Amino acid sequence: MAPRQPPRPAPTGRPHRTRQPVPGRARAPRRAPVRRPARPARPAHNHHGRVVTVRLLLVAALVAAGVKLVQVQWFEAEALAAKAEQQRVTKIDVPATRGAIEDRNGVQLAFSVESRELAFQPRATRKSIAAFNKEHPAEKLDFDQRTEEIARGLRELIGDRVDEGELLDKLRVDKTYVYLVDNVEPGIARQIQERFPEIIAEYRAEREYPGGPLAANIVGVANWRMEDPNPDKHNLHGLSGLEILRDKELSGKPGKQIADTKQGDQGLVIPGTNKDLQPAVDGSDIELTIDADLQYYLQQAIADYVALSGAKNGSAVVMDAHTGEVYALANDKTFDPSDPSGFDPDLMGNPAVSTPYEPGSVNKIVTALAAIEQGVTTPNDVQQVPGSIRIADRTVGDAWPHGTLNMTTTGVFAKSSNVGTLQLAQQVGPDAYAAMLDKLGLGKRTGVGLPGESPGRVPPRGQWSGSTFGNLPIGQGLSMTVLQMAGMYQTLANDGVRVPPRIVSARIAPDGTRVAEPKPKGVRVVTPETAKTVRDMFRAVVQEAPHQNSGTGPAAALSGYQISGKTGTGQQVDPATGQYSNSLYWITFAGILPADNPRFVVGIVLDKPNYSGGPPQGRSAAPLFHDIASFLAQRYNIPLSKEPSPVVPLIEP
Amino acid sequence: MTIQAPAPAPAQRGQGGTGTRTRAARASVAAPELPTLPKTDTAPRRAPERTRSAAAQRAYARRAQRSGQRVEAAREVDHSAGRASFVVLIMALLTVGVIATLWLSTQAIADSYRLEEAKRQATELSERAAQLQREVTKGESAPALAERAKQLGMVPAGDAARIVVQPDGSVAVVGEPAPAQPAAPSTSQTPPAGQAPPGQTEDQQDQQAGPGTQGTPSQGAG
Repeated sequence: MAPRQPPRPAPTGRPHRTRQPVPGRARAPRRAPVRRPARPARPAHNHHGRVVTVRLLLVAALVAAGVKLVQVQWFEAEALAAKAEQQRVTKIDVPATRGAIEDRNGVQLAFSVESRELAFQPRATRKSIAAFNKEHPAEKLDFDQRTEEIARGLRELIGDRVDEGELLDKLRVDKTYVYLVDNVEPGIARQIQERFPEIIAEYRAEREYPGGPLAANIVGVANWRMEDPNPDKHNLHGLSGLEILRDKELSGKPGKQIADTKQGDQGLVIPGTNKDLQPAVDGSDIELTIDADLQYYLQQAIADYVALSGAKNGSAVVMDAHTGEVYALANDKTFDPSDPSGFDPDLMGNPAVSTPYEPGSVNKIVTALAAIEQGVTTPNDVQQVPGSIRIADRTVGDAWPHGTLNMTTTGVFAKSSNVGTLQLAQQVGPDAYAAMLDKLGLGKRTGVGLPGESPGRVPPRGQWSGSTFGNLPIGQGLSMTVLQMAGMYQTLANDGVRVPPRIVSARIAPDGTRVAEPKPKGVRVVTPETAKTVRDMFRAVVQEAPHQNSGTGPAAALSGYQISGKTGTGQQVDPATGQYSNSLYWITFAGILPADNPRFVVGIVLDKPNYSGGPPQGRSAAPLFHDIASFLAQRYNIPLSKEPSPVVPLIEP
Repeated sequence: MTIQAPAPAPAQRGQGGTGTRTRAARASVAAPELPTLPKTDTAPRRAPERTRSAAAQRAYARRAQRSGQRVEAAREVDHSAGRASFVVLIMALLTVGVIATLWLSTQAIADSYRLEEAKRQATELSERAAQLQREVTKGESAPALAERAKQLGMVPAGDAARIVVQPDGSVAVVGEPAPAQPAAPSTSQTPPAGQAPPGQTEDQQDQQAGPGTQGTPSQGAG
């Protein structure tokens, strides 16, 4: 540009511009008219033919191209596009992590980890080896030799938990697809695949239960499910416990990503080709009110005590006295969800919430609450208690033979006199009594938040027969779960307001926000004064004093703390006779620690302990309460009671 | 306008690619001097331009050349030259654009390889972290700790006695201090410490309930 400019005179620019294109553009047209006449006629004919031929050829080519274009762009467009897409587009599954289950201190009771399940295609591999051998007769491969190598390699990389012989059997089985090993760490699976490309590693999420049997009956168990024909829907799902009840919140929503990738390499996405990005939504974490350490202790304690007492079953619960939060809920039998050999379905339930029982004398609290609330009696009132009482067609006696005694009201409950209790109940009246049962939440599910909860059974007021009111006050003829039983004493501890127990405190969304569970609504059962009076009265149950002034459960006492509680012995119906048995019992205890400033409520039930002839633990659960209370006092640094419980007279001379 | 526009182009090209260096160099012959042309200088000259005679214009041109302002010559070039330079400019821009696109997409692909590598590393590391977390959580769990404590020969403390400072400064002992029982010959002596399955611990209760209890008449002390 620049060099050309100077020689040109500036003013001549304009005319030049019009002329400039001429030499370039006009060259061809100008020559053509010149040449054509210049050529002779003969070659002109030839030339014309050539032009026509070339033109035809060009047109034909153009038409061919056009036809192909229409065919490709129109008729085959879809198929081709699909084929192309298949070549480069990969659907990448983005798995959602199942939420963890944590205790109140953030200790993980259950969480998920990624793992791989190794698989193999025996038939396809056999076929490909045969094909290879046909092509390369010189260097033949051997299927048996290869499978042997694989088996050895797997054992080397995975470790002793796989058996080479077993693996070989699986590798050589005549099937299209066979699973070899599950629960392989992804890193190891990658190494295996590098060494043996014919091994397939399928994505799995594995549920870890670091505590093993710890809180297993509450948390439950989840495992990898492959029932759905659509492999995308394979995921971890709950089998029992909270894992199944809260499955939706825990499991989250898997996402997917559709992108162009290098063939067979999910990691290498061609930039800018992310088409359908549906992010995975991880599951929420669930926070329990359980304290893992206390839960562990309680599980051990109840299991040991059940063994000691020769009982068939046993359950125990520790509850916050004011909020109704379940700190621990244990059964003597449990299972280990991390046990790879499978679980016994009989042990996976939670009898503490699913199996009601007749509570026995623990239920006398209902009479006590109603009697004090109505002003029928005061703790120090003395009443004449005969050796037995007749209610309708039944005669009810006390656990120990006695003539007519002058018992204080406190003494009636502390010594667990059936006769005295029934006398008081008669004064309260059946309607007020039934109303009290209802207010205490008996016969209704507590809504603790565990699957399979039983409401227990309380006969409706309309169906009461004459003897019913001789049974209910002494804790027979109605049934409740250990949670409901502890709930009655929680009412006592919480100044008359019953707060239904809860075991899930919050859901923690994947983004970290904590969504607290709705707080249960408290039910005012009795006035705070009544609650305090009955609470103080029930301290005498653990009292130890001379002259028949000891309560029924002095073993429950804990030095330094005021304990309020109640022992119970519920007769079981003998399935053989259909009558209440004299050897099959439920042994119960419910208590408050400490009575003067309640922090915890403990409920214990033992099913069919060795009542007669066995160790003392077979006749009372009070020692177990003592142990649990002692642990609680130390673990939660509960301040000592200001003063020991006063010793009160139970039987007046 | 048309003259000043090319200025940024060479600059861009210089950064762009080595392939366009020659062309960039050529185009920049005139361009770098553009900014040096003082605006006040051209403004008065523009107005009389049309009225001047050809001779006078040539004279001005020569003077401008002498003074080294060769741009004046470019300015004097007619529109055909301007259009040509515009075409070249567009071509240059297109070339730069194409090269830039190629370069960027190459970079993007290269980056996606790097990203893949980084992702792989991140996956491996997070797997490692998950595995370590798993071990830690398992080691922290109550049963594992209890087992470990038992191995170290630790036993549960049982009932504790407490020292209470009275208002007058004296101290009172609440409860009966008792030494913790050493592990008995049988391994079943330490219920909270062991991962003991039910039924394994036989005489633990007596041992635990014994000291500090306010008397357990119904219970045989261990």
